[in-house]
Amino acid sequence: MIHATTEEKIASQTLMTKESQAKVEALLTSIGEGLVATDEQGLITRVNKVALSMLGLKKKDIIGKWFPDVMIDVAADGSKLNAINRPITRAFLSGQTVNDQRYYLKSDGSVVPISLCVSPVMLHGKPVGAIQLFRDISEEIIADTIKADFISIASHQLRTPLSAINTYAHMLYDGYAGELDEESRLFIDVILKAAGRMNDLINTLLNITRVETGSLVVDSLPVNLANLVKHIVEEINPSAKEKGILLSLKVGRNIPTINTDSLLVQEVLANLLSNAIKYTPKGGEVSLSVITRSTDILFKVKDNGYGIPAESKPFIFQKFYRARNITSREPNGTGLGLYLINMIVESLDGEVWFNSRVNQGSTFYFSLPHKGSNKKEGKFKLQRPHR
Amino acid sequence: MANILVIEDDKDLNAAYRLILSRDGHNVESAYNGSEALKVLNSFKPELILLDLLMPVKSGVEFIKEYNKGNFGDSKIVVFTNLENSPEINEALRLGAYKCIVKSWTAPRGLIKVVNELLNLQPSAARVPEN
Amino acid sequence: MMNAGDLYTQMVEITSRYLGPSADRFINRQVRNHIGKEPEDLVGEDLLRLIDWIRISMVFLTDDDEIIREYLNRLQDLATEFKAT
Repeated sequence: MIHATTEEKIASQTLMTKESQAKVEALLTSIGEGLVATDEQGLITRVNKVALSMLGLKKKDIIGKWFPDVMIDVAADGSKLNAINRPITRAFLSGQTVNDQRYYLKSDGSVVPISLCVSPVMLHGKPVGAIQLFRDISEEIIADTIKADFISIASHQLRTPLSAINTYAHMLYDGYAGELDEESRLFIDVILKAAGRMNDLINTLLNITRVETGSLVVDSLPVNLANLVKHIVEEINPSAKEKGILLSLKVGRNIPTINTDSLLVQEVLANLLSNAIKYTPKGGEVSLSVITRSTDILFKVKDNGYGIPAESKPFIFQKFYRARNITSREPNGTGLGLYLINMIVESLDGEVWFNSRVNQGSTFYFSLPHKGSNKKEGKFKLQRPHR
Repeated sequence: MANILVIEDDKDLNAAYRLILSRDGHNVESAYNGSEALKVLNSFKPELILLDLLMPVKSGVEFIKEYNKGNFGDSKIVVFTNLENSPEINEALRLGAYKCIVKSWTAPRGLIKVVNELLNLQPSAARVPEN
Repeated sequence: MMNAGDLYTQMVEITSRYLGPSADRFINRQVRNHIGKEPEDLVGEDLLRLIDWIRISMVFLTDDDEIIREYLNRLQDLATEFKAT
């Protein structure tokens, strides 16, 4: 009698387990987005019908296969991307969920734009795999293109009255409407500076739209990096001097000429230096150094300013993010600079990273490979602000 | 000094360039789009044309094409625009425009300097108060 | 006495043999996001805590098990060298 009861118990528990499993399967199948999960070897353990349909694959083509072999990340034109930039790699580097928009290569060779959300799967405090949800965003891409065109037109419309403000303010300053006293000139200085900031903001918005829609041109022409850094420091020096900040440059030996986009490299360095000056108090120090290493050229922008608090560090390259310790000190900031730099560096096939301590300062690193940047076709070149 | 034609659709900017250049001693005429400009050129022969690229009715590039076809003389064309690095600028230069200047960042001194350099003239004295 | 900054430098150096120019960013982000320390404050135990994360990151970058094993062994040895006393 006892055995029968035990057998009945086992049978009943097996039935319950099978039912729970069936419910979980039903749950995963019913999700309206594509779902793929892997084990800790990167092999796919689970996939749902939506995912199979989006990729044009059958279950047997996917289960047990290596994730990067099946979920093939490409650029909009179908060319392969650097593995370390893949969302799933970034999820493990950060330990957090990564949301991104990518293009996947389908089994028929066509490219599908997707929005994805990928997370590490944790068990007893250790990463044991990944889970990714994704959906087709072809229609949203069309809407984005319309949005980008609108921003382009709007930016141009904004520049026209800005030209008038700038020109007439200069004419007043130069006495075209009669001699001015010192105070009037100071007021006009304020107008001109504000117009300059507005122009920079329009440029930044335009640049971001262009980078995000993949329409930014990346040249690949010989650039003498030693000369480039000297030129950039000369360009930035006046704003450092204005704040009583010592700006220094150290150029290492044998800095090569590499094939890259001079405009984009200048923009990255100018932005990093401006940030360093902006977030360092009067009398501080900012330095730019460049050295050549075995596989790349390393630029280093170091300051002894406010630094970045630990809780802000994971978000620093995000759009519109500004750390709390600086929004009170420097209200004029858009939170777009580092976001744009990150995207530009990626398009240059380079790397950007940083170290920082609050109230001690930050060091930003930017590297370019010796083999240079790949040329990328696009519709627009970067708009650099006038300084 | 020199005859200059300013072709710019924004009335405020057009007036500003006219004022700056006429105070520097030049003889300046205005037009607000490419079509008007071609009409003005029937009776006015400028040494220099300042041309905005993005205009209604007839754009800057369309104007240059028609200018090249017709018998309007041999002016130096300088393109004025807010668009940096755009295909329109390259097209204008390819069609024979001499130089390109960025509108929103050109102060009166800058404009006078460029114009006089192109005309091979010295900047005139005391039109602009010394700073 | 080993300089703590040397641990980070050596981690990057070893990693660069496998990841090339991406090594700096790879190690920098692992350290910053999973340990929350600056490079000069790292000790051997920190590196040991990172091994699981480094392993799973590598697994999605290459399917060559031997390379991954070789790389992780090098890091294990380095961690032992820099254990805090």
